[in-house]
Amino acid sequence: MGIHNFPNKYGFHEPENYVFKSKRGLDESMVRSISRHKKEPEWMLAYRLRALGFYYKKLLPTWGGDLTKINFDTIFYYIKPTQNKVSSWKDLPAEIKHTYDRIGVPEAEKRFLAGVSAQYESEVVYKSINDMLSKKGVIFLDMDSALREHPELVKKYFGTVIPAVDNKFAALNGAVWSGGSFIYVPRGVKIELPLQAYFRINAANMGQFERTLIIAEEGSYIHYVEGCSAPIYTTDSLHAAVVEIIVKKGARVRYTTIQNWSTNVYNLVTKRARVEEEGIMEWVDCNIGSKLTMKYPSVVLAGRKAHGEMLSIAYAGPGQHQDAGGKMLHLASETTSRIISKSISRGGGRTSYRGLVQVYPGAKNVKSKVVCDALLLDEASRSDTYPTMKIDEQDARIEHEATVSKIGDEQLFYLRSRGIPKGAAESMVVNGFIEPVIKELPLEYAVEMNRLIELQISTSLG
Amino acid sequence: MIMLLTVSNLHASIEGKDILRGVSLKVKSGEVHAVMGPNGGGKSTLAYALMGHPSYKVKSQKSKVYIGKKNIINLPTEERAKAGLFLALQSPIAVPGVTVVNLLRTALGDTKQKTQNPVLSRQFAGSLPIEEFMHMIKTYAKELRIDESFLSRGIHDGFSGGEKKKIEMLQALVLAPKFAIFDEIDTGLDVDALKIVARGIGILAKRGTGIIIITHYQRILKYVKPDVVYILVNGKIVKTGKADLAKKIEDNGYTQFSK
Amino acid sequence: MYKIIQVHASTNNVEFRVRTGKTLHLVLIGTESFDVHVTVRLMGKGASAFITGICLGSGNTKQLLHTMQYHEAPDTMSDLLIKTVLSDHSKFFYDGGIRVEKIAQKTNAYQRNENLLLSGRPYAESKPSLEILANDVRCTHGATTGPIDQEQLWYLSSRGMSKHTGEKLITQGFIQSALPRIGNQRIIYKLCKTIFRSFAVR
Repeated sequence: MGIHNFPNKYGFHEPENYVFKSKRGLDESMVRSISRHKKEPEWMLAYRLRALGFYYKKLLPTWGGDLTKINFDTIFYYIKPTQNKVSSWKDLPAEIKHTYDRIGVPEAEKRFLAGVSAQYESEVVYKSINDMLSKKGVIFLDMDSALREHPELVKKYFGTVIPAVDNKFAALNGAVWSGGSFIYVPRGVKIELPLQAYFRINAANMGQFERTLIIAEEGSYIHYVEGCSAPIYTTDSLHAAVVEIIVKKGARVRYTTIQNWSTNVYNLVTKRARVEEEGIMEWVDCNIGSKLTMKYPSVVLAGRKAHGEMLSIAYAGPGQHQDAGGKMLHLASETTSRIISKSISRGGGRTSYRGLVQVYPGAKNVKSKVVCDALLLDEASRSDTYPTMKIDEQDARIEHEATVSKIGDEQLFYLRSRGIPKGAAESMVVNGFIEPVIKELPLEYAVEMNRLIELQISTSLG
Repeated sequence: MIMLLTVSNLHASIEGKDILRGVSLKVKSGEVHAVMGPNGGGKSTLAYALMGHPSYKVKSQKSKVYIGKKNIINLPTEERAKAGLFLALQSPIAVPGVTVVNLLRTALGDTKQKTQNPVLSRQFAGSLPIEEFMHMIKTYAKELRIDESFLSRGIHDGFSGGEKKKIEMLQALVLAPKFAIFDEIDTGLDVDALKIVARGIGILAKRGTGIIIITHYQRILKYVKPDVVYILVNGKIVKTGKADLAKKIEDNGYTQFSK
Repeated sequence: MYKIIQVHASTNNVEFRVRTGKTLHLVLIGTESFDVHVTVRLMGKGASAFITGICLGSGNTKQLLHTMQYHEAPDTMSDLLIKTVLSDHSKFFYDGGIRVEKIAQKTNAYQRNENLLLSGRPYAESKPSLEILANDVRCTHGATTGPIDQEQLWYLSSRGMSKHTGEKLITQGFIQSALPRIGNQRIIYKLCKTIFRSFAVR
């Protein structure tokens, strides 16, 4: 019974396995069952029910991607992690197996990702990391366990950055959330090692409605990495995660996401960080998979000299639409922000950048720079940029630049004149294009990402 | 009229870091002084601090800067310019849409009384009627081998390094300051441009402007003979001498002076 | 073809269609409140358009400018520059789009909005957008908003100019630099008079 047996002592704890009858569709009784199954405190049930109310009231956004084909009534809103996998290696789509090979995913991982293997042998490594963390007072648990073991801490911050009423999918998540990570870093503690969602693989982190909450106390540092560059195959079609981050005075949080859901998935995520005085928040976001992603990591710069950064790569292949971007809200003086967005479309894919930089009255001496560049690899592809700048202070210095083009003939000519064949030259140019973001990824991800992108585009360029 | 630019015990810092630790020098009208030194020694700081750039903090109790009898140490930059000090910048910033002609006209203002008679009243740049002013500018431009098109472009907007330096020199000639500081005017210039700029300095000196040339190399000093040479290292003047001191640098570099 | 439009409250929305091989030079000036849509369609091969807009906002003016550059044929070019100078309690809203259809290969499209915020409490909102469906193109847009550059101001003070004079010179230069691209001396001259007349009023 592998996946459900992650031992308690490692901090991951699955709820009791009594029989849970999952059914399709969503209603109040479903929400109550979920809460009961997880044995949650009363206040969390109340929160879920309130969120459900908002979910019913709120309308689907009229902008962004095409959400009209989602059939909300046929979705399983709460399932066990194994239910969304294939039952045998043969059933896995060929392109996914092929990708695993090309990017060098080890055998054990492959089988786990495919859902065929019941257990992932990483216990020894995981144990030593957890010992190190607990010595420093860091809490790193799945969200369900965190609610059980640290209810007061969770209650203090849960829903404070993204209230359920924020948008339809945050409300949905509020009602049916399950899984996700909880991280608490005490004052002054700096963790150099990037914390990965259970060392890259964790069923709880491949859930549909993950809820992640990170609290960084004053002067602390944490780098959290979620996702996986290997494509995740799932039968779920709707993923609506919520990530809330609180960065206190002088603290720094970096949140790296590598998203590569299979191309049947609607990935609608609400991510927001609230940064206090002199704090730093860095979102590093790579969107490779899914049928449609709508994701706009935001930073609320609430304290003086707070800094927000968003570095993103989006890749859209045939049938894909990546609608992503970032929001920087300058509430306090001397705050700064930077957004670098690099997108690539090919074979009919569509990338859209949607961003907001807002300087509120009273926020003096603000500086912000946004650069969004898009590469169109062929005639069938499409790219859009929709930035907005709202400046309500006279001394703010705001810059925005966007360029959409194809691979430059001059660049290609230069490389080819040095003896590099056309296909390789094109790959080099694309790699150079995304380099400013790739170099911020942990090394093993950077390598995989490069190979992944190369693989994707070499199929189109032949 | 002969006067002195007296810099006495100048202490200057930027972003909390002390750069100049007590620099003193005296320049007489018509003299050419050269301040040389290794990079990071405080040469540019000297230029900016003398001109009163707000980023440079000066210890005004200790430091004094006099033009003649006037202490300018606490004056804002534009007052120092009006008192007769000029700074040619090393990398001047572009001001799009503002031509050098416009800049100079505005800087000179209109110092001649307009006559009451509207027919007779003419526009002036400083004390010169406009036509004469334009003629003067074009003459200097020609001498400095500046193409006339640069006169009607936004100043320094897209200009090469050499063009920027020449436009700074043009301004010095037109504004005729009492004292002029040239911050690394020789970097980025080819031999021809260097000779032209040197000639410009010579003209200024002959007319009575006291000159401070700040430079790392002694290239320009081949074409303009300095009366005094200072070596500035770590914010202090470690050696003062005559023109032959510059030759010593060419032969042996700066390390001989940093103890 | 040259067209100057002085935009004010009663100005109607305009649309220009540029045919094969033709060039449109469009100049927009606004010194009062307005709300206007300007559309330019590049409909024939080789068509091009230069759009230059200058808006001065002061007092309580509310200026809303919407522009669209549609590229519907190959080898077309459009270049839009909107510069504004805002002071007091003026508000400026700009939304401008470039849309390049699939058939419009080898398009070059540019869009730039620069807002200079002077004293007071002006508000500037900028929403440039790009929708690009052809790949052999080059499309850029940019927007900057900010106050007068302090380094530029200092440079002018080093030439003896007071803060007030320096600001005036820089502001005039900011607008002046948008004029040479118009290409027609007579029109540029007329524009200068209109614009700097409203400056003198301040």
